[in-house]
Amino acid sequence: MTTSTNNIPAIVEIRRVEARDTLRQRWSNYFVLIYAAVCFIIAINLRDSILNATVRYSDVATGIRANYPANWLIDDDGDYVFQVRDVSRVGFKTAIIVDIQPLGLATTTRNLLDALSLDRAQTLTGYRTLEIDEAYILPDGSTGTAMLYTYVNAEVNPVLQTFPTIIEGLDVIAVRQEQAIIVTFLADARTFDAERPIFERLLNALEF
Amino acid sequence: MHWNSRGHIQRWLLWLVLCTGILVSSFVVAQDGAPIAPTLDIERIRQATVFILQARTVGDTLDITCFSSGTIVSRDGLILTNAYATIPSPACPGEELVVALTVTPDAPPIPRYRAAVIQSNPGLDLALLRIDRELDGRLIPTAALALPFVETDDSSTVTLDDTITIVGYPGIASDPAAAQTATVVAFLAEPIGGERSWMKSSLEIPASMSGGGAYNRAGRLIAIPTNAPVSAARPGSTCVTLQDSNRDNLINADDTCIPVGGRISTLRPANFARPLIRAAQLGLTLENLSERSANIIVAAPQPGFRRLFFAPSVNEAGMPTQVIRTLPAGSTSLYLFFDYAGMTPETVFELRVTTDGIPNTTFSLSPVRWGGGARGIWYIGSTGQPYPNGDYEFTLLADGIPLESARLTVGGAPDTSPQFSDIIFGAVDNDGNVSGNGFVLPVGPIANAVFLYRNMTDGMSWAALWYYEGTEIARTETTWADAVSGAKDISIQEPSGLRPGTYRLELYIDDRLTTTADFTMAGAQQGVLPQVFFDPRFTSAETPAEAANTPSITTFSSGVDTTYTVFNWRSLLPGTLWTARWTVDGNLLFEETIPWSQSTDGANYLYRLSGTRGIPDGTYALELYLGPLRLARAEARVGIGQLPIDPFAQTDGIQMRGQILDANTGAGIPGVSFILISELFSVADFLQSWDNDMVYALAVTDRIGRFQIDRPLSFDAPYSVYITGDGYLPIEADGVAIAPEDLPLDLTIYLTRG
Repeated sequence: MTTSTNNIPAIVEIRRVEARDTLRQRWSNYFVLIYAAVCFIIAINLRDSILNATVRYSDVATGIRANYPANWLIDDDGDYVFQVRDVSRVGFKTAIIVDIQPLGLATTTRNLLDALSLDRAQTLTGYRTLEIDEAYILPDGSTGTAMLYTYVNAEVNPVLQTFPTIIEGLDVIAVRQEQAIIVTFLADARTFDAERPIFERLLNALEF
Repeated sequence: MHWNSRGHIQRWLLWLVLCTGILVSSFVVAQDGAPIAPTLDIERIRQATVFILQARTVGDTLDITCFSSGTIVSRDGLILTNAYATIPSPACPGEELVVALTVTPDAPPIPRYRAAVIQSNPGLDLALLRIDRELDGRLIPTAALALPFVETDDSSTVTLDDTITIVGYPGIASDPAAAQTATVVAFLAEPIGGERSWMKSSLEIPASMSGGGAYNRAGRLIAIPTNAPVSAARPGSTCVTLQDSNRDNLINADDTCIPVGGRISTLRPANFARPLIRAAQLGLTLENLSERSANIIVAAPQPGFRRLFFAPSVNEAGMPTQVIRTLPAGSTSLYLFFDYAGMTPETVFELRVTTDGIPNTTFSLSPVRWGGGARGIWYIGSTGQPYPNGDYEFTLLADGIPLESARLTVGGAPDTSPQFSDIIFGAVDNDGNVSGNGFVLPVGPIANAVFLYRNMTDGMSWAALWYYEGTEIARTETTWADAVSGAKDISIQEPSGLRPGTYRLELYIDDRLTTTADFTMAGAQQGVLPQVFFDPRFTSAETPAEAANTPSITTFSSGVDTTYTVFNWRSLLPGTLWTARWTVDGNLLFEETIPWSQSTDGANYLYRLSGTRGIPDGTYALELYLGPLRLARAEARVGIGQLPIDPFAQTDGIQMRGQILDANTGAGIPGVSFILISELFSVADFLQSWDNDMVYALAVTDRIGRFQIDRPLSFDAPYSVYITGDGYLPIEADGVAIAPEDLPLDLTIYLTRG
């Protein structure tokens, strides 16, 4: 304690002395913040680039070229041009299927949709067509047809105990000369909207 | 010292208990307590075993009409089972087939699918079904199914005393699939399938296991338990009432009673089913267009048996070598012959054998569908297994009713009484020798028979009786004037020509039948074999009518969807049994033995062979037989002339299954992908391209984390595994090889959140 000469206690103000950063320290701080922000932006970009990374698919026979999501399982041995599936996804594996159907002179896109619906109604549980948009604008500006539908997917292996999943599906149909290209997007109805951009990106880059 | 000794004993006892426990746990224990070979993947077999309910639609409900077990024999849903409980008939009139599967181990089956009969052979009591619809009636694309299945094995390799495991459902959809071990105690012979027409098991199983499977130690299907319960309308039948079929709110005697059998031990060897499976897997359908157009309707009289006698052996034509009254001690071969009439494919046939009055299940035949024609000669017996001494009584039953019986004593010394034996038939050549094929003679004025004789003495009275289509046409009664033993030939002549048809010769000594044999006269003289069927050819046409006039084709292009086969015939009496055999690449595809239904002479007998996905490449042949003799053959190639290899048709190896758990919580993780990569690629290769062509199989876990690879893995092949699920660190491994001793394989895998 400090005392005055006449024994009266003096009031001593104890004040914290603000440490003043040096110029160097200030710039260091700025750099740290900038560095963190840049790293964050890079990380975001890196994540996006990984998530949105694509692989080129090309089929000479049909003239179809597409960019499909990386790390999706590609299958071109079925009765379609190709199919890609996100096998890492838990639950129903989101899938995009590209197929080509010949069209007769009198066949309309609507005929094709009806045939698809009839076929699916025979084999898919609870198949329902939700909406048909005959003025769907394709990425190249031309008009196609889109059909939104739903069904219930169940595990085919009868000895496994799997809950059925409600699937939402979207067919986008474009007609070129005497054939129709059908691009189908299938996803769990709960994540359909969130994952639809993946499909849109494939559709935008699709060449046929 | 006392306490030390007690402690020593206690330790030994503990070791004994532990060792016993280890030994016991190294076996999978069957339901009846008998151990099952540890190399048998019994879980997979149980999953592949189904319960089949035949039902008919009444209003908006399904009434159960019959039931049986069955076995899935292909991943796309082919089911092998009995014909009696699946093909609509008066006893089983249902038109719908519901398939129930074991979904949970050790639980009763759950109805899951509907199926349709795609191939069948009522005579063999075998049917092949295909799962084609969900339970609610929705169609199932064939490629959409990936079911657990078993593969058949060559049943001719089974020997007496082999251990087999019989799997089926012992209750009426209320019990889980049961596996019971047994041994093969006998083979029974019939004309329809030769020496191995039936196998007999040491164990009698419930009749509801009929249609299931009997497996060898390799886990392959080698026989099908077979039983045909007597129709509920017949006296002596047993049946159960399950539903209120008359809708009077009571389940009682007024409701439909479903026929059930007792306990059975009769197995149909799987070799009889393999052609059905082969044809179905190739998607082939064979239609006999001429039989369809013949449309013969024959009134079925009551079944009957007569002229029962015993023979020690059977010749190549299915005829007895001699007729015996006793069988010496130590004999290993015995056949009961009899004439039958009024039989239909619906008739339930049974043989009960007693030895010294005690039922002998080894040589008895459980109730089965009749496999022969409407009338003719039949035999049932066995060779290669000892008959214990005793007095045997063989009783034949039709539709549960005992009709005829015969007795025989086994034991004592060989019979030294005078005897005729081994009749064969032929024509006399220019040198006066009897020649020919033995049992089918060309139509002509004379037929010769050569037979062996022994222990004869001069002056004995003997007789030869000739029959044509069951009517006696000639009789020779005289006294013996030849040597003691040797061969003798006799003949029957008709200057105007013997008519085509079936003949019989009976030889008697002192009014005792000593030997007998049938032969057929058909066709024209042409070398050793008569020309009965001629100009067989494959052809292609738009319609069956056009096929008669189109030229022969020996090579078809790949993808052809229909071919016709045409042949002509001469001098073949209606009613004569003949056989058509179809083969592909030398393997039997179809076979039918039926009575001839056309006129005696004619042209353009027509078959149509078609394929749902086009006729697969291969070399196809039609062979035409009378008795054991192949009389005509036509062959054609489709595409490259060789069947394609189906990698999915094999079950060699092991079925991988398991459970994927959260490493933190221990709970099963649903929806995780288990990717099995072909042995040609590593995980690194796969992750570079994510190409489905590298994937051997892909499974996704269910709600409790369980998964099952739907393709069997080859033993010792270095597979790679990649397990992935959002939110968890993936697991990858190369060089995952499985050895046969790893059976059954059930993995537990932990994933870590990341």
